[in-house]
Amino acid sequence: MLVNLIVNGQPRSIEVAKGEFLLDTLRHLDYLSVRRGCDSSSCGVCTVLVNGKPTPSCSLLTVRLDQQEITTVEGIAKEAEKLATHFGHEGADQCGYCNPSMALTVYAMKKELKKPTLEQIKAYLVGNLCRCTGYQAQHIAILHYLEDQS
Amino acid sequence: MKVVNQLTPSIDGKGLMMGRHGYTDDFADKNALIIKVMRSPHPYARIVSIDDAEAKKLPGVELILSYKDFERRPFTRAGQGYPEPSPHDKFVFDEYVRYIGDEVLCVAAVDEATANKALKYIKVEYEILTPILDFETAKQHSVIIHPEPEIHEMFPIGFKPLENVAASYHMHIGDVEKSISDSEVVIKESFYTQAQAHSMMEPHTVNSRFDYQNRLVLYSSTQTPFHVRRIISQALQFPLSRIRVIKPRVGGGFGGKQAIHGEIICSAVSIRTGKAAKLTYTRKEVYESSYTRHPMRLDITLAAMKDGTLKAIDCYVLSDTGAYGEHALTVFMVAGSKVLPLYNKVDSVRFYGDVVYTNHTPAGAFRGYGAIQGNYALESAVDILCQKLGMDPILFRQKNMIKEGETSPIFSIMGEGTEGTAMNMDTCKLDYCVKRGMELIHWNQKYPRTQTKKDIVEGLGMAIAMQGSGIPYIDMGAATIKLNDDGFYNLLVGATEIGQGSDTILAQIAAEALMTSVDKVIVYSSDSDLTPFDVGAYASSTTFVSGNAVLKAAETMKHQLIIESAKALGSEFKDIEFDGEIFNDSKHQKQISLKDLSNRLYYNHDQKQLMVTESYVGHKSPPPFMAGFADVSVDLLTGEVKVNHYVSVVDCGVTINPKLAQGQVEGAIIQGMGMTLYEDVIYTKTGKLITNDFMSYRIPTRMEIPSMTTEFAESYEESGPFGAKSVGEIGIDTPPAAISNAIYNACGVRITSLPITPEKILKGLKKLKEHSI
Amino acid sequence: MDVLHYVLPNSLAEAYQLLHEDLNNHVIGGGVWMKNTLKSINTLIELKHLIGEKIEVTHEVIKIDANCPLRQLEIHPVIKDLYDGIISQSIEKIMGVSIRNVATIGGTVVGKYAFSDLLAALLAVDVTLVFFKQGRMELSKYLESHEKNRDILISIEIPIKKGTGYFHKVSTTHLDFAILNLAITQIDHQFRIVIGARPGIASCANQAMELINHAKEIDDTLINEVAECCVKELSFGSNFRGSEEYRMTLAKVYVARGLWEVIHHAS
Ligand SMILES: Cc1cc2nc3c(=O)[nH]c(=O)nc-3n(C[C@H](O)[C@H](O)[C@H](O)COP(=O)(O)OP(=O)(O)OC[C@H]3O[C@@H](n4cnc5c(N)ncnc54)[C@H](O)[C@@H]3O)c2cc1C
Ligand code: FES
Ligand code: FES
Repeated sequence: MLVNLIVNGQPRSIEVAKGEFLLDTLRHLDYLSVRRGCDSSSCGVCTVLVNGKPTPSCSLLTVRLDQQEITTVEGIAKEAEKLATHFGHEGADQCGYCNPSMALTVYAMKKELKKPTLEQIKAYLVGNLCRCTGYQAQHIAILHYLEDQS
Repeated sequence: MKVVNQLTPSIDGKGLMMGRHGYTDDFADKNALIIKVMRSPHPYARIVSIDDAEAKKLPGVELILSYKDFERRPFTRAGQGYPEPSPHDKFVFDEYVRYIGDEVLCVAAVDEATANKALKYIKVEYEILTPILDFETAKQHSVIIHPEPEIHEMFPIGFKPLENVAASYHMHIGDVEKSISDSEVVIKESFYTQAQAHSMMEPHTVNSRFDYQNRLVLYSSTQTPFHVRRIISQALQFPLSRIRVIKPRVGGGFGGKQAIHGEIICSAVSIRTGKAAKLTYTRKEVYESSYTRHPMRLDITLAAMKDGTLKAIDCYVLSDTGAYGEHALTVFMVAGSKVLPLYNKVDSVRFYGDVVYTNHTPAGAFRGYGAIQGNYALESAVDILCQKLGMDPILFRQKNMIKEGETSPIFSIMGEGTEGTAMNMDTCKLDYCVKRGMELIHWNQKYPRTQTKKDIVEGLGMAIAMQGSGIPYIDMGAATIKLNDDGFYNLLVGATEIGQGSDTILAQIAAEALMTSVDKVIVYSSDSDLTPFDVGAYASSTTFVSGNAVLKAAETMKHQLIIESAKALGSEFKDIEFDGEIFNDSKHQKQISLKDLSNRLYYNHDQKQLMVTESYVGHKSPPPFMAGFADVSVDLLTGEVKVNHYVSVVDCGVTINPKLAQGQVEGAIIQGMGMTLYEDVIYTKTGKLITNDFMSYRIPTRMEIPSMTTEFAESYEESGPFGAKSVGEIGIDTPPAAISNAIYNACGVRITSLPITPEKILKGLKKLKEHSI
Repeated sequence: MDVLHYVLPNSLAEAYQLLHEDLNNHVIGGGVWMKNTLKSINTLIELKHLIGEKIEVTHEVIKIDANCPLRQLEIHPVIKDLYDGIISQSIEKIMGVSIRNVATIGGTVVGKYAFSDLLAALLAVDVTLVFFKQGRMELSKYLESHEKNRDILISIEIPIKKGTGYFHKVSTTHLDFAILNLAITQIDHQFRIVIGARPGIASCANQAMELINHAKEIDDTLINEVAECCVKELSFGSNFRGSEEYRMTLAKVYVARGLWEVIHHAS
């Protein structure tokens, strides 16, 4: 089936099987920042924004997304870089496999919540698992990022 | 120091956050054949027949491989020094399948759907055999898990397959029995630890193809690219010189990738078809069919005098290696060798036991590597002993634990699979770690317990730990530094960045020695064609072993630079001072910049490439030490536990990168906490793993984490690069005992099997109540 | 997932008919649960153009379209306040924001998941379901029935009344399914006590409710009696998340704690 997606602002038409999930479609289209951790909507690694909202791309059927706006981390490069700067300062990046999805979720949170508290940040990001960092450094980095007006 | 021990963001953090390509699957060929593995539905069975006729007819099915397609040549998948201390007990495919999830055969097809469909069309008939699912009954069981005659050990490791023993070990110092009978207070306890799963976010994945020189090129998410290359060559009898293994960015390893996973199968498919191929584990395969931590039973006896002098430690360990014996002996030994020296003043020690085969998912390397199991048992037992002695557990430790300048006979007796190496503790700030930790956790105010609310009590507990820094005389790392025109460097290392930050800290070490900044040192790591050898990322070896190699290479490069600058300036070597940018001969008032010198070397005069390689093998393995303190709350009515605060004070020498070191500690603390409280491993009665995805295998989320305070003791290890020891593993060791001790101090319940679930605590509380009535 | 056909029917009637043509035809809500549970589907029936995802508030009810994602309910200002916010709280305990942006109320209700946190909260409020064929039905009645009616849910209605509430989920980690969940409300001076994930599906503890609703005075003794009664009248069982015995203990403890909380909030 032919589906028209808008990926990071660019229209992309692609022929997909009806049972294909967005994660696979995006990787086919070379958006390789979108990665698989579990394939069962339980780790958050595959998160992309659909119409601005974080969603698990491993579990969204591509055929249902005709004309929808998809944002991968490539689409928020500036913000991702800024967040990465704060991660770097806190030593909050390790293997990095969870990071693009983290950037997208943090970006969505920033738009959705005004001045979130640490508890709110945790609650918003809880679906993004990370096995490396122990999370605390991430939270400090995110708090700094949210305060960063530059 | 300008770079080392300074805040330095990781060199790759930005690119990774921004989603740049980097991980194994990002390099897979688009038209790679997709490999799917059929996995055994039985814990133990013999394959009677395989009917793949229908599957072969499916359009798009390229190749089906089973045991019939391979010569019987046993090997071990463990990524360890060669010859390996693990039994060679694995075949590419075998007629026998030994656990639910074991490899039966594989299909390579044009796409995933076709490969999966083909699997459904293949009929395999099994003769179902009786499995061994309880490791305590495995030894000398009537069922033999590895009856095949070809398997063998590479050197004596106590391998007795006909008794289901993959390895066994015995050591003693002094007369344990006598020490115990001479002591005034004796405690005895058995502890159980579970088969923790690594649960790295990136599943195991590998892809392969032949390049234009007709060589086999693999990208693999591995911790040991050089071992992978060697094992593929051995198992498939394919020339080592025609294999290139590239380790790109790895999405977490923790020991789980210190072994062969799909690499051999993937290579075999490429070799037989000449085509690109790819094998990625599903999350279920990661849980069921990769490796776990070795579950263990540890029986500990401690004997002491009433004044709190520890006299004897007796430790029997039974370890379950599952269906294959990867890392069986070495993990077992580390449960002793990196735990027992903590109490080095005892009269006698005994450490012995077996590693047995069962029909469970095989066990392998996992951060902590036996030390976490041993630490849980010993550090819990110490608190039990203190309880009986009526002695403060901190006082007891301060009296009996190892101190700077001291040694332990264990170091020379126990190595990893072989004898060890004697060494003195040139740096050991354990004393400071304990004292500082007490302050940070408010020990004196809060120990042992405070009632915070009706039904909620808070308790404190602690444990001390040690690890190693590489394996002396075995672990080798090498580094090459190349000077470029314009005056920047390439650093080529075999060392394996798996997310622990090694590329960054190695660049820092080179930059510090060369007096330049990290951005002038371009790191490329772990490519078997391009980088020098390194054993890989394990045994906490990278900072110490590879770091020393980098330091040596940088020093040699500096030397060469000065020689060349002297030539260029017409000066004497001894008159040159180099500050990283300028070569200055102040005596004759001449100077040249590094930039000019390099441009001159490559374009103008005396043209030559400056490139140096150095290697390092440790002669000792200076242990990092730490004290871990837990503050927990226990709900007396439900047994629910919350860890409120965790304090780590670590002596890992000088931290090359303080923030990344902190990240190593904190990440490990949370993994250790997961093992302590949440990560239950549950099998059905028939040996099927129930906890095989993130919905049933519960790793800590950001909601469960305590607030963490992590500090480093001031410490300088002469033998380490810029005074560093290792820090990759040490953090995982203390949580099981510290949290368990804290729970005991909160509510009086001692749990001796991991994980410590609320149910177990509640049962304990009920028992306490019954006893007090 | 294998999907043979993907159809956008012209009407609910057509959708309903399609659904009944084949047991392997399915309507889809958010689809996250289906992804994890179904391997192959004959016809996937899209409803998003027929059933909205709106939340409408009138004086008496909140009407929620079946396709409304859980996150929309969770953050809705009226729902956040209603009955001390127990519906929002139950949703907050489900996975992460990204799943809640996709999973729908329709998929939750029709799925009748025994572990469902949201169903426990909804049952404590007793919402009304609006089906295409069967029309209106109380959630309590729907959960009790064992028939697989394969109807299409159009919307649900939450009554707006003054009342207090308590929700609690016990789970090993935040992302885990419940070992037990419970929701308690006091609406129009009537208590409702719901316990789910026992591991059976959320049910009202009717006798316990009777006991407390007819009591003249509420004190510790009564509350303990009510908690005991819940454990006696409802069935509990074991699975790898928790044993029957442990679940019974949890139920007793949290019913008592919940009741006290509800009473305190009311006063
Ligand atoms: C990984 C994971 C973890 C979860 N953990 C929890 C948890 O801890 N607690 C909890 O309470 N919930 C949990 N859930 C469940 C979640 O809250 C939703 O209830 C669930 O995903 C169903 O919603 P859906 O929109 O995805 O349904 P779908 O997958 O779209 O549908 C589920 C079923 O409902 C049917 N259906 C959908 N809409 C309609 C309709 N309008 N009319 C008729 N039938 C319909 C479908 O045909 C299908 O049979 C979890 C879900 C996932 C995927
Ligand atoms: S891969 Fe989609 S949530 Fe894990
Ligand atoms: S950094 Fe490795 S999973 Fe988060």
